Amino acid sequence: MNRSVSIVCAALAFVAACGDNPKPPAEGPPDAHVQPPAPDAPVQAAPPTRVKNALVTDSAPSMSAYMTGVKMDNDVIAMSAETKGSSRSRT
Amino acid sequence: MTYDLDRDPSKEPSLAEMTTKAIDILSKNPNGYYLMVEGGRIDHALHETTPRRALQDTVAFDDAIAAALGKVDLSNTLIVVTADHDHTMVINGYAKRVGATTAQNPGILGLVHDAVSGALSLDVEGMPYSILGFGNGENRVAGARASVAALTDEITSAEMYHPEAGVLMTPGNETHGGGDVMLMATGAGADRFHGTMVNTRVFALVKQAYGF
Repeated sequence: MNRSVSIVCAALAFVAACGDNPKPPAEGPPDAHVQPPAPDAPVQAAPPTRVKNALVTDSAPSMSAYMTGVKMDNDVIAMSAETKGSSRSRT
Repeated sequence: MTYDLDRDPSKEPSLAEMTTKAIDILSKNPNGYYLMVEGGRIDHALHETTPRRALQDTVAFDDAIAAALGKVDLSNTLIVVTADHDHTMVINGYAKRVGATTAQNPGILGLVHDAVSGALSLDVEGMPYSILGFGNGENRVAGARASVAALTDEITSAEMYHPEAGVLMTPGNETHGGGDVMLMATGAGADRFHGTMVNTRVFALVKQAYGF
C-alpha cells in the first residue's frame, strides 16, 4: 500500500483558535477569523514536553522526542536516553 | 530565512510554497514519503519577544498547513500538526475581545481594555498594560511603571516591540515554557492521536501510520 505521512512541527507559543468561543458576542468587534469547528475537524491531543532532567525542554530533545521516540536530557540531540549534555547557551 | 513579516516574495518563497514544492517532489516516490515542515521562525521571534513577528509567522505556518491539506489524499496520508514546546508568552487581564489585527486595529497586540466598560484596564500604579506579556524577556521597567511614559496601542503593536516580562533576561534569551502543547491530526490513522500523551508517543504513532 502506498502510505504517506507528513508531520508539521513548529515551536508555537500558543494556538488560540482551537479552544476559542466559536460565537463571539453580537456587539463585539468583527471576528470573522474565528470559525466553529467543522464536522471533520482534526482530532486533538496534548503532549507534555518536559525532558528527563528539566521541567522545560530545549529545542534539541524536544524535536528528538518526535523524531526518535526517546526521552532525553537537555543539551542532547537524538542520542540514547542516558547521554549527558554539556551546559551551554540554549535555544 | 527571514521573518515572514520582512520577506520579499520576489526573492524568497513562503513556507506554504516550500511545503507544496516538497510534497510535489516527495510524492513521486512509490513507497510513500515522510515530510517534516517547521515554522521555525515563530520560535526565534518569541526568544526575542516580538509577538507581531511571531504571530505573522504563525499565520505563514497556518497557510502551509492549508496548502498541505489541499494537496494530499487524506485517505492514505496522515497530517500531524504540533509544537515541540511552548514559550512564556501569556494573555494578561480580562481583555475585551479585540478582533483581527489590521492596519487600523492593534487586535491582540494592543492594550488591555475592560470587557464591560471598554476603558483601559490599569495596573496597581494606575498604568495601562499590554494584552501580551512574557514570563521572562528583555523588557522590564527598572523601578515604578508610573515613572515611565504610559504605553499606547501604537507602541505595543510595533514589529519590534518587546512586551514587558516578569524576569529580565539578556536580549534574545527569553526561554521556552513548560506547558503541554497542542497536537492536531487528520487523515489516515489520525484517530490514534487522542488525549494527553507523552511526546515520545507521537513518534510511535507516526511510525504506526506507515504500518511498521
